[in-house]
Amino acid sequence: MKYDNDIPTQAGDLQAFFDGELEGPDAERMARSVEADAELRAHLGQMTLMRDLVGRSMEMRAAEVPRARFEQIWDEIDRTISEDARSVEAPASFWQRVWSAIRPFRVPAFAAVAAAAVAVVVLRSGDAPPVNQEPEVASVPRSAEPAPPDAKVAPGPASIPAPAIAESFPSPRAADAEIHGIEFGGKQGRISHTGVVTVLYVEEDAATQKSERSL
Amino acid sequence: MLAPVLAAILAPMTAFAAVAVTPLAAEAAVTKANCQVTTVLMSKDGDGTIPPELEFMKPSLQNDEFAAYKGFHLIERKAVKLALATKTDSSFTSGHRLGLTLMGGDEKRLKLHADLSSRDGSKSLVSLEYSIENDGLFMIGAGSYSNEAHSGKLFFAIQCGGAS
Amino acid sequence: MVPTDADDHTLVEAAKSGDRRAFQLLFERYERKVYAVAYGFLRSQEDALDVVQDAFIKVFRYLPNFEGQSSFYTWLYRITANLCIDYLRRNTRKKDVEFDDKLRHDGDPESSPVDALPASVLGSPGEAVENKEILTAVEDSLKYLSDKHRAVIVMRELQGLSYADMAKAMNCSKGTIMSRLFHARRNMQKLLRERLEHLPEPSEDGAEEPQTEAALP
Repeated sequence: MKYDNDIPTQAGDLQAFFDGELEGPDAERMARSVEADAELRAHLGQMTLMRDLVGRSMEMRAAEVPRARFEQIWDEIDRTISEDARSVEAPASFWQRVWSAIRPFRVPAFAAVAAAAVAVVVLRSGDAPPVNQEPEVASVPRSAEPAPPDAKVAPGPASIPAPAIAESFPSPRAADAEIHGIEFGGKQGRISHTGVVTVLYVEEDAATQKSERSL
Repeated sequence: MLAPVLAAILAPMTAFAAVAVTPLAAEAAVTKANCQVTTVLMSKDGDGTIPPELEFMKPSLQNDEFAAYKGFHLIERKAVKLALATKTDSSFTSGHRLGLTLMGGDEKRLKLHADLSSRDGSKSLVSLEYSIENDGLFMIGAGSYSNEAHSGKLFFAIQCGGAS
Repeated sequence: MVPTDADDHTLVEAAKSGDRRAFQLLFERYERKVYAVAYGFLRSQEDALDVVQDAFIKVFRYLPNFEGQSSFYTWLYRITANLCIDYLRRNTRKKDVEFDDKLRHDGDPESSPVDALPASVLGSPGEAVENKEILTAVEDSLKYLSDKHRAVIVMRELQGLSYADMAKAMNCSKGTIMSRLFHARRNMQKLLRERLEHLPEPSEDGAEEPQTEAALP
């Protein structure tokens, strides 16, 4: 294998061997060298360890992303590809084609219209009423504004009445659970520790998920 | 040289194991537990408000974990009384069955076993043993669910407190 | 409807014929792996999530052209790598010095690499990969690599791309990739060694105790 000339051949060959880039007699020769040379074996071990470490460190970061973030991303992907499909299905109307055709002229045209509008306003302002004239629409005093609904707690009617419960429970304590043993029934699952609540996700068969993306 | 190195690598694991095992093994003071199991339908439609009947678990529902959901709907709530080492089964309108068993614990922490069946009851979706602080909330997302009004994912929220 | 445990090929074919659920299953299967790769390149959660989104949109758009000559994940990873490299090019900071492939590891390519990582600190490979402090040190070391060095490390160690694929993605020759990877690995070892040497070691007195406790039932 040909390398740039700033690395020694044996180190380059060993690296290529490790990366599975050597073939045939070259690979066999390097395998024999590795078998005979403890230092080469140690070097291979170091490269293997490094590969494992890099993989695991990134997996560790990936595991920290809440499932909900990926769900949000899926929703965006789903929306985008739905729009793609719609744009393919629905040919552009006459006006859409005209709109596209004048694309290069839109900005200067709008600028001209806006400039004309400003000019009209400035010219008409000479006939403006005296400044102490009452405005046509008085602002509503702040105290008279309707109270905004509580943004945090919806007072509205729940579609399903709240069931009664015999005993009142204290508010849940923010805590993660510790899983001692787990067995998923066929399909895989996932555990998410948030520091406030531990969430375990399980999935039923595909058939029961049919309505999943009607969300 | 190797001994301190191994100790450095193993120390966090052993400390963790000690914390996890000691209290439960040493103090099995709790023989009963009162639990409430709340089933919540989370949907993508809505404005993110938490209805009053779910206000008690608002900090959990507002966690980033559920950021993708904008609608939270109470489906059902059940009180479940547990006795030590005795499985208590509960049926839910969704079709799921949840078996809970108190395995032990003390005034701070409970150890529980949970077994959730599929909606048609034909098989177990998950069977697990976990420990959690008294009154801590543990949730199981059990997949897609729809009722007349909403579609989304169904979550079982399990909260238990020990009693002697 | 395809089952959730269908292989990639089945899901790809179903997605090609318009089965959105099949494509979603592919997304769910690879979302974190693609994220890990993008995070390795970009070191920012938000940027990495943006790349995940863009990668899957691009994959879906080009799915009809995917003929399965390589595996789906190799194709997906190649698209991800290209997006990350484009992103880095668009946001290139002027760090020309760092882009020199040979810099940083004190240059002597003939020196023995075997002692580059403190094996005594790492213990066995199995122990090392379970240790969060070590994994954090690895991530920190990656952060200090130049963009090009980090790119080849991620493409090779995380994605398993061939030299040819890497050369295509980075628009250079295979020889350059070989050289870049060689220097990147050396730099990585050096940076990692510096960080691991600072890991605290417990006192000799307490050294045996955790092992004894760990052996208890």
